[in-house]
Amino acid sequence: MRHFIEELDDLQAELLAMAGLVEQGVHEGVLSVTGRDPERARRVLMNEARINQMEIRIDEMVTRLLALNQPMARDLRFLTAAIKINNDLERMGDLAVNIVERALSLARQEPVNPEIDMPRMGRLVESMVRSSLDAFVRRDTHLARTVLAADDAVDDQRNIICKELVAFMERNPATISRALDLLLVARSLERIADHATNIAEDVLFLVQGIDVRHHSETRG
Amino acid sequence: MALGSPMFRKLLLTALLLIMVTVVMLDLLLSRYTVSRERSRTQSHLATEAAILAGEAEALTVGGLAAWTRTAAQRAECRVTFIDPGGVVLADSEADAAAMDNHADRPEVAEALKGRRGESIRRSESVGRELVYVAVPVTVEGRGGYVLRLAVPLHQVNTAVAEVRRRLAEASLVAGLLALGIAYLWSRMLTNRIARVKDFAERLAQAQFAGTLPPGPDDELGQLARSLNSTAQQLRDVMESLRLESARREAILAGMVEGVLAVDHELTVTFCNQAFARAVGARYPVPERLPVLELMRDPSFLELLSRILVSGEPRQQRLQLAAAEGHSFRVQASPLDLKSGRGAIAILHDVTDLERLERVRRDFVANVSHELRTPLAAIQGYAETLLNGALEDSDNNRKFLEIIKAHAVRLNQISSDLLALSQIESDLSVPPLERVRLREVIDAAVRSVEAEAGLRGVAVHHRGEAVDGTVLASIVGLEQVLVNLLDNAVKFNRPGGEVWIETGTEEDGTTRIVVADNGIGIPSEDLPRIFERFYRVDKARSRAVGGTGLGLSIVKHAIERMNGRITVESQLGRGSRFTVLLPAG
Repeated sequence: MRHFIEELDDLQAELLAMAGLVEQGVHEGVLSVTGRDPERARRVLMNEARINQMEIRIDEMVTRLLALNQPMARDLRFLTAAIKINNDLERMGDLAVNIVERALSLARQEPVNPEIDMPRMGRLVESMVRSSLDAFVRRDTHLARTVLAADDAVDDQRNIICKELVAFMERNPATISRALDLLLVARSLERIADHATNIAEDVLFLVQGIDVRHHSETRG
Repeated sequence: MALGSPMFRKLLLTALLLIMVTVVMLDLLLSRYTVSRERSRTQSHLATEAAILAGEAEALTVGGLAAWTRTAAQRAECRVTFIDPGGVVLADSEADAAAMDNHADRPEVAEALKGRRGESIRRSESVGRELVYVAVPVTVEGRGGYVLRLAVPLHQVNTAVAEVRRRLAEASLVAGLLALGIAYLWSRMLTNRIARVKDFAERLAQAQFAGTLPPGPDDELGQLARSLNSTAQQLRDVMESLRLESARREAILAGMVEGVLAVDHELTVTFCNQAFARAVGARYPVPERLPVLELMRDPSFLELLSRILVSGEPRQQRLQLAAAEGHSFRVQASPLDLKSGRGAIAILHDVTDLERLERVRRDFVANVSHELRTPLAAIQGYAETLLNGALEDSDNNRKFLEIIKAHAVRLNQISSDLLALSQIESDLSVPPLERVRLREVIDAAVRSVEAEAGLRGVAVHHRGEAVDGTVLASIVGLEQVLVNLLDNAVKFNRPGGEVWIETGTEEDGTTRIVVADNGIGIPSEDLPRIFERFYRVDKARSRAVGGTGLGLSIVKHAIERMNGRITVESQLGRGSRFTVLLPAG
């Protein structure tokens, strides 16, 4: 049997490899919407199966490590955080797939140009995802807290986009189905940001052993 | 240490062997010499005693012989025997004369019976010991033919030999001790020197080249020490030049614009320069032995590295990194043969500018042909319609001709804009800069857009404290800039919208002119490109409002020629804000 520490390193490597695929999925997803690029969208769909397999493998690794080693303290926190991050990553992967499905639908229709800044929201969400994972890699609580702080900005962006899209639909009822696609993209992005926030919380729990969930005063 | 060393034992053994050989030979020689000397000494002593006693014996009678023999033996400290001319023992100081056999056949007695002194060394049958005998002829009561014989045991000789041997043993003991001491000192000196040389050589083998070895006396060891010293010096020089070389390479790699990353066979980072760390958004310097996954998670890059490790074939590909938003890279990755196995090295070229220039050039050609073709097609179409009979159609002919004229005007406008742009670009000489009163230029520019603004229901305001100041600019150029900016602000607006022109002074003294509006704004992905020639955010709208797609390109070039700068901020649906910075006059 390999050494426990080495197995923990393997687990982290597997998580990060999965995170790389998810990050790529979100990035390509946003680009496939804004660039009306079905080719990009299909690439994301191809990676979904891999992400799902990795989720299962990571779950098995964690279960085995928990069962065989009865870890304590920090190692135990790492393993519980790994379970949660694994779950968040898999959900983010699914949301990226939702985004590219909307992108494929949009690419089949005439373009619409409501005055919304989807790329900006995409960049913000992508940077949150990246920061939450960087915080996990470096065990950086400061970076994790900036992710928690950014969540409100994403919510604001989503609200602005929703309001504009609703107004746009009222003005041009013929565009309702396309505008709804965009609305769903914004909603998926916002939920990806929520999962990034969860990962940041897991990092704080992992490093400091504190639970910041549902305590708004510790945010920021 | 010296006592246990093999060197000491060898030296000591050699010395002891030499001493032993010497002692044995000396003993042989000396004991022989001593024995022969002692024998001849004893014999001559006995001969002297015999001569004296023979003198006394002439005064004796045969009857007094026995008594005299005993006293004479006491005085001479030897055995005395008196023998008659027939060989019969008359008296003996140590044995019973009557029991003794005839002595005429004893060699010394036989010699003395012939009238000469006889000597011999042999075992006595009478007393059972080895004795030295001396016999002389004696005359008793005037009658010759008697023999006086003296004898001493040989053990006196043996005692002398033993004495010599004792001295020899003492001397060899002293010599042995001396040899031990000398061997110890000598071996200690040698082994110390050898140990120093050995330690130094071992340090060299462990790549510690500092210090020199004291050479000591000019023997073989000293020469060895000297050659080791010069070896160390050469190694130091080589190491120093290697260190310099590697420091130089490190500095070159670290300072390179291209990102450089090296990994080993386990995908662990062995080198990462600052440019690479910046491109992937990592902290620099990168910690030792960082798994590459903790540096960057981009799946396509990781796959590239893994393929290199498996195949050993160099590869290259295009890459976009999430951390370097908007930048594109070309990665060249090659295998790197390391002791631990095959690693890989990746070089990251930032090709963003290259790609952007390429795209601008491509778009320019496509755009310019499109811009020219549209009015030309319209002119051609309407002209053909007119020729095919519409010329006589009094309802439409005038309208068609006006459309032709409008498109000709547009073509003219595009070509004069292109001409202006190419003049600005090719004419490297700076136009004469003069002090320009801001108020005058702004008023003139506002006047020229007032009509258009009125038509579209857009209000133009101007405000700011620096409006009475002057800037160093070309008056025509600055007016052109402001008219273009105001024109855009008015046209890309909504009815009831507003445009502001604000002036102010920056902290460093430059003058700021801001043209802001609350119009439709510019999407963030288009912002970096709006100063490109023919770049249009919304093509349909831009043409509808009569733009050529060259306005902002001209603005940017004109401002740069006046040593100024222009920046833009915009929010989609909220409006845009162009800021021009010019040196104050």
